[in-house]
Amino acid sequence: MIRRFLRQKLGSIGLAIALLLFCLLMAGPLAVSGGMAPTFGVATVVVFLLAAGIVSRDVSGGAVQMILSRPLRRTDYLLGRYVGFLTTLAIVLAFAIALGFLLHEAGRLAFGGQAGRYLWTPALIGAGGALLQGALLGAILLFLSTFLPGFSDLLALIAATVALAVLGGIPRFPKLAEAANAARENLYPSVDWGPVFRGEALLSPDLGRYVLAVTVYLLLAAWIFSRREFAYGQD
Amino acid sequence: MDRTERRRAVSGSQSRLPTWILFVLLAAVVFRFVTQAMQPKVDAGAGLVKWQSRGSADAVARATGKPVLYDFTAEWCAPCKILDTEGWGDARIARFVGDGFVPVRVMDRIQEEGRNPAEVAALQGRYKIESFPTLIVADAEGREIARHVGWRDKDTLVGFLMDAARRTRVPR
Repeated sequence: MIRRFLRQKLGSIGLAIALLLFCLLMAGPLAVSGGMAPTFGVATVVVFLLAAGIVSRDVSGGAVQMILSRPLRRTDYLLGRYVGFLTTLAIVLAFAIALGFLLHEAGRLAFGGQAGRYLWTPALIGAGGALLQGALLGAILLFLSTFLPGFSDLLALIAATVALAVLGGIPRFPKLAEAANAARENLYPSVDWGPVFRGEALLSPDLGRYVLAVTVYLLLAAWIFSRREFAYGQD
Repeated sequence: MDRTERRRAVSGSQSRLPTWILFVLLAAVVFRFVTQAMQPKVDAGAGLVKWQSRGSADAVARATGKPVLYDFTAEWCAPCKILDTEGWGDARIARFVGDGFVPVRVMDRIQEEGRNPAEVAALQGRYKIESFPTLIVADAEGREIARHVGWRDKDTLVGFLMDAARRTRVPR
């Protein structure tokens, strides 16, 4: 299932070119700053490209019905899709870091070694954080994709994010704003990964919220998907 | 059916959820509660002031238009204890703080744990905190508006809070 996901995503020329462009966008700041200023914000778009419609497109295309004609648990299928997504994201991020290093070294050679050495630690911490935050986004999309058709999972995620941000910023209704901010904190917890990777915040509440959120999204996805009925035959 | 598939073939319903899923959920819930419990309990606050969590303070400040009142304090600090009882323990002051500010308590843990949580260290660094107690009033973007260091008496505290509120045009 993981190999199938990789073949699906990296086998598409258009998507491969788009991913390469995003790798260049991530590698640029890494190369210029020598690994010091990793900017992986664009990784969110990569997550959207990889995970939007992660299950629903298989369902509408009839692939799920074919796959589930084999003796596989439905949870195995879901897990395969999710691990496949994470593997692809990890490959993209690793490629971006490596590309940043190569560009940085090329710059050093071109300008006579005036730039400092490439710092791997901040680059890896940045990429690790992007991967884990991407894992949460991927889990949300996987969950939404088990019951929403096509790319509605992505639309629902964007709509929910915008709605919570708007509600959280209404000064006239402080209670509503507080509730929206609390919902955002628990539904889409944002973790400062630097201290976590350095072992300074392994028991931070943000990390607890993150672990629980990812687990609940994946379990809800498994529960809903295991109860879905698929049309076999003419559909 | 190849060997891998045969190995992964399941007995019973294809839709049945594996039982290990429950253990994963249980572990995640336990971890969530542990991390919540490990949060320094002093964050819950002292006196009658309803302290807000550090994480949501900026968002609440933006939403309500109130400035953030940071109380940089420490467990071992004697003047901080007086501030807690005489200052934050005063119902009038607590109400004034609740109405006009987003109060956040930032507890120093260096003496007890050898180092501070990253966000505490970041806040102390940002506002250049050198002694306790230090009160900082900042806007939602984190810009410092007023500062008060140490404890003198209740009137001085009230004067500082009123002056800070006036500077930020807090509705009362």
